[in-house]
Amino acid sequence: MPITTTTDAIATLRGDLSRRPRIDRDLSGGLRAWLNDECFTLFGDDSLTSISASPWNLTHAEVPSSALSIARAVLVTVLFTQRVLGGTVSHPMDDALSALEADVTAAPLTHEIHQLDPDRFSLLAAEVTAHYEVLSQHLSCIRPAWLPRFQVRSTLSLHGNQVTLNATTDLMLGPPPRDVASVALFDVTTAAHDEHTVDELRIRALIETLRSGVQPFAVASLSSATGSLELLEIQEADLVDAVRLCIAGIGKSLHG
Amino acid sequence: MQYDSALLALGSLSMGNAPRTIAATPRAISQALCANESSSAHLDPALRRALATRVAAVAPARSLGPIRLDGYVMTKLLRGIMMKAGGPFHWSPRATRRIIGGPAAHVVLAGICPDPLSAVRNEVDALLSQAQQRNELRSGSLARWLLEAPESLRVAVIAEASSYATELLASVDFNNLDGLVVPCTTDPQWAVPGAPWISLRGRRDLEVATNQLPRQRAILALRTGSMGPYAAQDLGIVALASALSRPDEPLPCQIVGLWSATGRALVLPVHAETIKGAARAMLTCVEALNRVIPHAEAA
Repeated sequence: MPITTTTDAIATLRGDLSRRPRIDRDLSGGLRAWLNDECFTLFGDDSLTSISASPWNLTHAEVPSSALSIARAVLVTVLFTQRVLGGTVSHPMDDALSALEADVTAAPLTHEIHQLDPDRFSLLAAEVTAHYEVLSQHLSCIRPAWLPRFQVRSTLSLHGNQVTLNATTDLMLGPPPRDVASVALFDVTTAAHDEHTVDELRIRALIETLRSGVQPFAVASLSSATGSLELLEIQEADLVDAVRLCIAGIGKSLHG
Repeated sequence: MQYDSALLALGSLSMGNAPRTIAATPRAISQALCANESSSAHLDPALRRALATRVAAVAPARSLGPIRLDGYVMTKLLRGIMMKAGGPFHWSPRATRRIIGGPAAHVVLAGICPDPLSAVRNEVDALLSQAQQRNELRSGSLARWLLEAPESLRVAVIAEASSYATELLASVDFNNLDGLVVPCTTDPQWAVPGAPWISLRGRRDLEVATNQLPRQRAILALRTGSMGPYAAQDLGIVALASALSRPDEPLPCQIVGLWSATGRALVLPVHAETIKGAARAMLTCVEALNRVIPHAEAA
C-alpha cells in the first residue's frame, strides 16, 4: 500500500496496467456471505434494529456536523468536478455556488449558505478558495477515454436490510472489467488524512466489490486541506480487512 | 360486453409471470435482453378501451393541472405515499442527464464518437449553437437555459450527462448483444382518451430489437436508489406505457430493470397478464389520487 504525493493524482491512480489483479468472480459472493454470517451472530434475535453506515463513520469516531464544514465539503466537491472536466474557475466560491444553486436537492444547503452573516460567508469563501488552490495543484483535466463518472452512489443491504452500507464516490474511472480489474475510485476530502484513512479506503473498495461483483484495482483519497494523496492498490487481503472493519463498526453501533 | 370482460380481466395487482432477479453484470444483462421470454402477443384493444373508460371515470379534475404517472410516482402511490404537488419545472443538471446523455450514448454506440464524455460535450455544443443561431428559440428550452447558464453550471451538466451515458454503456455487454440497439430519445407516453390531462409515461433507457421474432423488442430501464418491493410494478408500467403508445406492435418481450447503486437487476417477462396487472395498478393509483382530490370537490 504505497502512499504517494504527486502533482497529477488521477494519472497516479491509474498506475501500472501490468500490476492490476486478475478478477476472482467468486470473491464477492464469499465476502458477502461472510458479512451476512457475522451480522447474524451480532444481531442474534434482534430483527428490529437497523444500522446505516458509511465508510467514514465506520472508521472515524466523529462525523462532521457543523453547517460550515458540510457547506465547504459540498462546494469543494463541485469545484473538483469543474477542475477535472477543464472548467474555467475564476471565482471559486461564486462558481461553485452557481452550479450548486441549480440542484434542487441542495436547496436547503444553498439557502443556509446565503443566510450566513457576512463574516462567516467571507470565511467560507476564503476556505473554499484555499481548498481549490490545492486541488488545482494536484489535478489536471481528465482524459475522456478513462470513462469518468461523477458522484456514483452505492447502497448495500445486508442481513435482510437491517444493515445498510452507503458510499458516494466522487469519481469512478475505467471500463467494466473483463479478466483484469479495471475500475478505480477517487475521493476528495476536505479533512486532513489520519491513521484511519487507509481503512476507509478499504471499506470503499469492499462496498464497490459487493455492488459490482468485481473488485476495483485502486482506491485513492486526495485531501484538499493538505494536498496529500493516499492511494491503495487493492489486494484480496485489503477486502478481508475491510470485512473485519465493517463487522467491528457494526458491532460498535449495536452494542456501544 | 367486450368492455366488461376486459375489466373483469384486470383482476388483482398480480403481475402474472414471476419476475426474477439476475446478476447485475453486463453479460447477464445482455443475455436477459436477448432471451426469448414470451410470444409475439399484441395489446388487447378491449383492455385499452376499458382502461381509458375506467381511468376517465375516476380522474381528478382537469383544473388541477396535468397528472403524469410514471414508475416513480406510481410506486409511491401504491405504497400509500401521496406526492406533493410539484412546482413549475426548472432545468437542473439532474434533469438534463437523460436528455443529453441518452443521445450521446447512441452516438458512441454508432461509432461516431469514441467516448461518452466527448459525445456529451458535442451535444452541449450543438445545443448552444442552436440557441445562438435561432434567437427565436423559446424561453425555457434546454438550449436557451444552457446558453444563459454560467460556465460552471454547464460543466455540472456535462458531468451528470456523461456519468449517465457511461453508466448506460457500461451496463450492457454490447459485444454479446444479439439484436439491434434502438435509440430511446423520448419516453413513450399515453394520454388517457377522455381524460387527456392524465398521462402514463414509461421511463426506459434502451430498446433492443431482438432477432427471435419480427418487430419484437426488449427494454432496459435504469433506476436509481434501491430495488424496492414494487420494483416489478415499476417495470410493468414501462411495459404498459410501451404497449399503449405502440398498439400495433407486439408487446415488448421483457423489461430488464437495473438498480446499479445496489448492484441488483430484475427481469420481468411481459405477457398479457403482466399488462393487465400494470393496468390495474394504474387504475388503483388514479383512484388513490381521486380520493385525496375528488373530482366534484375540485371542480
